[in-house]
Amino acid sequence: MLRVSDLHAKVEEQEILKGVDLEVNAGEVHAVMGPNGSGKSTLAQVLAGREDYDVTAGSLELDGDDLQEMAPEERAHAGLFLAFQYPVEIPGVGNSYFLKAALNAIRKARGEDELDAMDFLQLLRKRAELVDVDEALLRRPVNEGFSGGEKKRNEILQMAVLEPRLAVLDETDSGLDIDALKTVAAGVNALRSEDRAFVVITHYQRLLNYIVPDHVHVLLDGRIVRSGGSELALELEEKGYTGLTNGSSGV
Amino acid sequence: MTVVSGRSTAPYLDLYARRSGEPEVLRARRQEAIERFEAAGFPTARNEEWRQTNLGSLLRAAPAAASRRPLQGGEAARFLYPDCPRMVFVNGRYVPEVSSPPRQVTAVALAELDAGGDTEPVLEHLGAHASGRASCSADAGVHPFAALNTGLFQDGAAIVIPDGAVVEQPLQVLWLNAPAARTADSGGETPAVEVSFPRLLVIAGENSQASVIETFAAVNPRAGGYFVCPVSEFVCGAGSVLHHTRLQADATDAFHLGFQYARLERSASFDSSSLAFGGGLVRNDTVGLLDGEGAHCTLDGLYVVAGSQFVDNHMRVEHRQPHTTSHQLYKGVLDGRARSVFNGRIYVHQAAQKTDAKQTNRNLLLSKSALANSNPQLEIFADDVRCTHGSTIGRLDDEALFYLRSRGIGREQAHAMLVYAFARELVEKASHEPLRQDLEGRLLASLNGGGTR
Ligand SMILES: Nc1ncnc2c1ncn2[C@@H]1O[C@H](COP(=O)(O)OP(=O)(O)OP(=O)(O)O)[C@@H](O)[C@H]1O
Ligand SMILES: [Mg+2]
Repeated sequence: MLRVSDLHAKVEEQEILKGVDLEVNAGEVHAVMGPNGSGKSTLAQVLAGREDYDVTAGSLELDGDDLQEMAPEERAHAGLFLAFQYPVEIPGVGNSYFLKAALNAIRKARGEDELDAMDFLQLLRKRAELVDVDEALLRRPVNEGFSGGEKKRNEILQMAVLEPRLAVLDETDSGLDIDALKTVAAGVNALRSEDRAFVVITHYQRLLNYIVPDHVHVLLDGRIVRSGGSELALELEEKGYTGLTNGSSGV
Repeated sequence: MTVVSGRSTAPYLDLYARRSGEPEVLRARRQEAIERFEAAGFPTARNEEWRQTNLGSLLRAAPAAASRRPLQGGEAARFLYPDCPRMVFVNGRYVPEVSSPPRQVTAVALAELDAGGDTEPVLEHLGAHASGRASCSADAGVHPFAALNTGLFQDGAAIVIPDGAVVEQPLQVLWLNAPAARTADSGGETPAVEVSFPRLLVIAGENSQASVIETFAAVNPRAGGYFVCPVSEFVCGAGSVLHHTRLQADATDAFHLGFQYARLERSASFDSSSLAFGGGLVRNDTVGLLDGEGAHCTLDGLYVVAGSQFVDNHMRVEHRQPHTTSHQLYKGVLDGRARSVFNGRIYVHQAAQKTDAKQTNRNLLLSKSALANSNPQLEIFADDVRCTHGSTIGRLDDEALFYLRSRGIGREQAHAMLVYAFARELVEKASHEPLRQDLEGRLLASLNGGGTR
């Protein structure tokens, strides 16, 4: 589904990603771990099509299509979703209005009928219940004044409504209390299926108890330096990142 | 044919000389105004108040009195709100056939002032902004276009709301412009513009409540340039509550130079929203005189401009009595090579202790070549007051744009959503539902057409 090869990316003339290789197949869950500043969010943002990041070498493919040729919205139409590490506040744009616009834009791009207000509301209520989002948040402007945890839940709500084929979750577990963590995991697990895949960026092994990954990767200084099964996360929890040096070979 | 040279007032004085009749009771007042205009002349670049408004293209054009024109069926309908009593004017002249003046109030066409009835309040207040106690402080000087209007208005509306009356439905005053098709025989030297001088006077009696909607529009937005030079005066009696909406949707190559004036007596409240979408060269001078203890005015505005449109809002709020409050919120959305000026003067007289004045101007630039100017001017001569002002000039938030796009919303739609979010509070404050929907529709339409105008 997703194939990232030898990806190099720069921001403000500084190279952040220095040759990332990652292959994700339908049905799989991949976890990406790594110390602060190692480039995890950069990878996520490059996947979603953020223009501030320059891809200087390598390739990104989704189902064989070159992502670099696609605008951010086209990537979303193709089934890509990024849960932001820092969700953006958008004053003046209502949360449910925004979600309806997003869902209908995606449906339209796929040649499906747009949902009318009633059908959408019904869908939204169901999904909000699934990920335990308070209805009051739906009426407020997107993320404005939301608590840290509410913002993260709102990302998961968007995912649940848009039903992407490939979801990249950038530290969606950070700042969540234990109950919220379980709901977020339940949201992910409810979506898990044969033809969907997840890339879960996290610092904590804890999340991976709820969302059990098929593969775990360690990103260090812009490269994936190690990959393994879910046991790798436990090992990292114990030993930290010391001992993993840039250049040691992956699995 | 008149030869126009530079900033000559001659062609306009010529219009005055050739005007066709007027109510006898207004003759002296008009003569006085035209003399004031002649003495002041058109403002030059040296005039601080007009420095940023380039009148060149207007003053190079040869003015002609706007033609009398019948309305074809339905031409006015798309600008009218179904439930509102209305007065409709075309090229500055009243069209009784499509008007349905309100019942609870006295509404007269100014051209009919000689016909009898109680003209006393009208005569007392019409043009009072230019003289005596009701005028601005001396440093405001003569407003040449307001004087020109007083000298030249062909017709207008005077609305008198009786003491204590509570008028439920808003009264709509529609100012339509329909210049005659341009003739090609001018030899290509001086472009001609048809000029109209809409004139509105609203007198709100003590403790009365009412809403007035003014709409400026072109019958055919592509009919070519014209010059509309309106004056609206609001006299707010003690304890009155007056709402005013001013929708300016003129053709994008029209000249629109307007003057608005409100004088508030004790505990009166005047709430005005000025929404400007049209016009090529637009200037609005707005004056609020808080002339009675406890009076409050809200002067809000929105301008949404693109292409080579220019819009200048000059505000002057004078606090003359204690415990008066004023709020101003002006927002601008500028695309293309559009330019805006916001000049906000708050003048607090020595007697006006406990004044509370707030002024905000926020601009959103959508293109690299759009330009917004914002100049607050506070002049405070009382010591126990609260005056705040703030102005911002910003661009769309790239992070927000990316966030929306990452959810599948196309670039243009994301753009429009963010601009709408910026401007919405000013259209949504309209409480009359059909008006609000109209304003929302116009805002959305101007966003979707953004960049192509
Ligand atoms: N816009 C930017 N301008 C300058 N430097 C940037 C920018 N964005 C990212 N960087 C730098 O790139 C490096 C990688 O940042 P990134 O956000 O990808 O790290 P991360 O692995 O997600 O870290 P964390 O675990 O703290 O979220 C950091 O050193 C960061 O300072
Ligand atoms: Mg990060």
